Amino acid sequence: MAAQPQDVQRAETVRFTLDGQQVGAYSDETIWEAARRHGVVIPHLCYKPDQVGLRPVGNCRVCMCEIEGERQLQPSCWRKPSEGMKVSSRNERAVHAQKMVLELLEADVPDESYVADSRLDHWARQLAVGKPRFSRREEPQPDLSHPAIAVNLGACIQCTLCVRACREVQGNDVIGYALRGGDSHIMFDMDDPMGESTCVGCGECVAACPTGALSIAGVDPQQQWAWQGQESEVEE
Amino acid sequence: MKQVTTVCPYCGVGCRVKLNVRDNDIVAVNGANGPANEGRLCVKGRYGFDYYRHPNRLTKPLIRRKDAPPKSADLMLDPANPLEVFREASWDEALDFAGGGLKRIRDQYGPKSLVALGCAKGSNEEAYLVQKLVRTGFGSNNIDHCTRLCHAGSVVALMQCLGSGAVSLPVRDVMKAEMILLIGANPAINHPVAASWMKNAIDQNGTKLIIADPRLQDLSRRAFMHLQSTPDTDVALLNAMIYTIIDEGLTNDAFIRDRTEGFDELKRHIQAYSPEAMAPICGIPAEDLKKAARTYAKSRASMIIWGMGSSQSQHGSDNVRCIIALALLTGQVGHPGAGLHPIRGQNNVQGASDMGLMPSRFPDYKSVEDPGQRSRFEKLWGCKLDPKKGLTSMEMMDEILADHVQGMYIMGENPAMSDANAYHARMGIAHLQHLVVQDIFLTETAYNADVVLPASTYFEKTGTYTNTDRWVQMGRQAMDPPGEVRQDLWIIQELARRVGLDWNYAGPADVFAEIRQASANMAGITWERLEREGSVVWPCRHEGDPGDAVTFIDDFPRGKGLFVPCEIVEPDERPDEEYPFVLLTGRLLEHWHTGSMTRRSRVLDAIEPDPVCYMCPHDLQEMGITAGDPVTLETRRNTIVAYVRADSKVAKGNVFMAFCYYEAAVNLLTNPTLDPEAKIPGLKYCGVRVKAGGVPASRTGFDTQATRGEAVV
Repeated sequence: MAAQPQDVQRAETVRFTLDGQQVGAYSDETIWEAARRHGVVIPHLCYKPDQVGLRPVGNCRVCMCEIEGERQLQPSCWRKPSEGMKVSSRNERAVHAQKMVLELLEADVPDESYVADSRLDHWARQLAVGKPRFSRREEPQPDLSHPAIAVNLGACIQCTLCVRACREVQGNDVIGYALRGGDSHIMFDMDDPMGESTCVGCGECVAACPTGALSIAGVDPQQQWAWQGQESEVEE
Repeated sequence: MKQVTTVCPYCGVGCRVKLNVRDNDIVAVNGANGPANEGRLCVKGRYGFDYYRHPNRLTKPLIRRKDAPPKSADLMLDPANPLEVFREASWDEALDFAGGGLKRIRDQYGPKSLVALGCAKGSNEEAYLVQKLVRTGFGSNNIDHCTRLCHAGSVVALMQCLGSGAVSLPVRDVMKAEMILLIGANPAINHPVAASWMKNAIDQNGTKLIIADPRLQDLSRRAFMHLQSTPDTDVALLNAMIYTIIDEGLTNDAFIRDRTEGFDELKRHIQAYSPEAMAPICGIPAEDLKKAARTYAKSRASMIIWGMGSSQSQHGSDNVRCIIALALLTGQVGHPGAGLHPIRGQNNVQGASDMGLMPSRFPDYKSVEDPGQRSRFEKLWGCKLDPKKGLTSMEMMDEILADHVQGMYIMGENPAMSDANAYHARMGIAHLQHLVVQDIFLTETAYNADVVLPASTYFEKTGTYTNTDRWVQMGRQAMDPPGEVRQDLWIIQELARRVGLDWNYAGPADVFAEIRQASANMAGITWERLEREGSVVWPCRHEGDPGDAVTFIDDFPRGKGLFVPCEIVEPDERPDEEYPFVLLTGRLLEHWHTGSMTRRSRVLDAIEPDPVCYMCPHDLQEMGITAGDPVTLETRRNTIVAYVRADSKVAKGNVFMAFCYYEAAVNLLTNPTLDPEAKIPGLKYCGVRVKAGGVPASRTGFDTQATRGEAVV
């Protein structure tokens, strides 16, 4: 009888310092994953751990940490630790960056969330980010053309989890990311209303959305959770 | 709010889901990490759960009124108003009437006068009890279920050639394969989460996908080759591949020598089937047939996945024999990423077959004609058993009309919609003296019932379900049944009592304990482990056995794999001048089977509300038909009207339609001619005439939307 994969003890082959503690990491682990195993959950929005096929891309910059000797902060969801690395996820500089990103993103989304527990609101609360000081943007119109999925891009933070869910997890290739700069947004096919696009309604994008920009149509926001179905995130 | 982790009620992929339940009502469904899905779901699983609360739900037992209109194949009822024909009854009265009627017929006409259809949507425990009720209570093997219309051809061929009817490796092993051969299946529609793993394999690993199917599909875009063959020419196509593999020396000689028999005969037989000779028959250029054969044979690990397109045919078992021969010739079975996967339709069609819901097989596929096995089950069940095979589902209808069968018990099946030449099935159903139907809605089959027992939906009961990969998974009760609805296990047991069986199963765990005794392959699976782990794969022969997700590694259950040469059998109905088109049938992404569940789901009904068929745009242009208009489809058997869509995936000369529309039931048109051994009808092939125009049904669906918009075509 062959050993089952879950029974195999993995060896921590990399030693590094996380917020002053000596910790070990597996050879293929990111800083974020190693940190979580050691009880530290670094804020994250564009990264949904534990879902097969949803790779980290490091674009929301909420999980930034400082690495001693490096000029720039690094996204912990994407960067892997190396031997002897000194990582700070909670020092002043890292937390300042994390909070600033959260505040900027909060300024982009409406006050009323489309789901009961937006991950953005959750992390803003956790890091005590107050009402954003920045001006609001003009909100795009809601797209309620699909019977199952409500699209409110006003709450979209361009994290691209839905794009990866649609293209890389389910392989449906409907959601794309278009245009540049302030005009950039996700779109269905050639910017069609979702209900008229080639969307097959699998809902993988809704499950991946951290803010409720994609939510279940016809269900009270108070009864919906972003990242619902998440199995094993240790936090709170 | 409570969260219940269970399994999706729809297809054979068996995705694990988490239900958010509030006040005895499901609010939302999320994917959970199960072995088949890792959190993924499709539109049916995620948004198609609300059928259980549709107003048409049966909540009280019904008995046919004395002054009801006479039973008839033409009888159409409004499922919202069952009291037009039925009256409400207490459970005691309904069960006495149902069981008493069956008992009276058995005692008057003998055990062969009763037949039953079990259910591939129900749990293993329910399936086990239904077949036990028939074998020990009715006294015959007249028990079947929808696998007859599904993978009967595959099971016959797999049992004959390998000795086991189940898959040899899980779908997710496409991630380990170098090449996937997909025949007669459209997983992006029918097994969407399985298809997502195939897409991942292609996108991430560069796995080559070769599809053989008369109709293009969503996966074709990613395919290395799509062999768009002439319908009903599978044997020609596969034999040409076999020829190429032998002719070009691509065989795995050690594998053939050590693990197979019958090679020499196959080699002699195959000489008449060169790709050049087969190309005009199957419509694929000889070079493409050779290229496909070489790709399959030369890959490090090739996996064959096939579906109804192969098995639902007058020569369905031959198609599968050829598929098996490909794997045996090249040794593409039993090592990582290589194997045979007849992808299962219903969520528990694997389990229902494992449980012996078949006229020729006891649980664990033991033949009823094998005296040793029979005496084993006689000992387990404490009574004499019928040594003769029973009737298959299609044969049942013939025997009813020949007055050899008078009584029938149907649990959760809808032959009035799903049988080929469904009008014949409807005539059979209407001809019965006594019909007991157990279902959640008043189905087209139940219109002619004498008594209807309101059953529980998937979410209202606990039981185990076996997916296409052989994972036995725990389905957990999330809600209480509405009204006077009872759980199916209770209903079956009460019926059994009324035909004279003294059963006292306390619940599904009790039944499962007996299943372990009946099936050596599941003997090691305990209820406690299922509750703890959620999923355990069989074969699992002793407690603590992790189970084998991959089989046939060292040998086949029958010992050596058998080559069975197959000839091309002419179908009994080719397109001709009178009926020039080929009618292909299948399913839609949004609608499940006969539509009784999905057409009552708000989201699914909103996406696909009206009966539609699909034709090649060139044909529409030539015939002057505008997409979206109604067309009339006529075959030798019947006529229906549906809206037509232009679809370039459909080849010229073909019409495709799904069988989920009661108002345009395509199975009224299909050809009932059976595969001689598997007794599966050729549901996917007959001649049809298409005429512009026709009057579509004035009412579609089941009023699932509060307000209805224009027809979405």
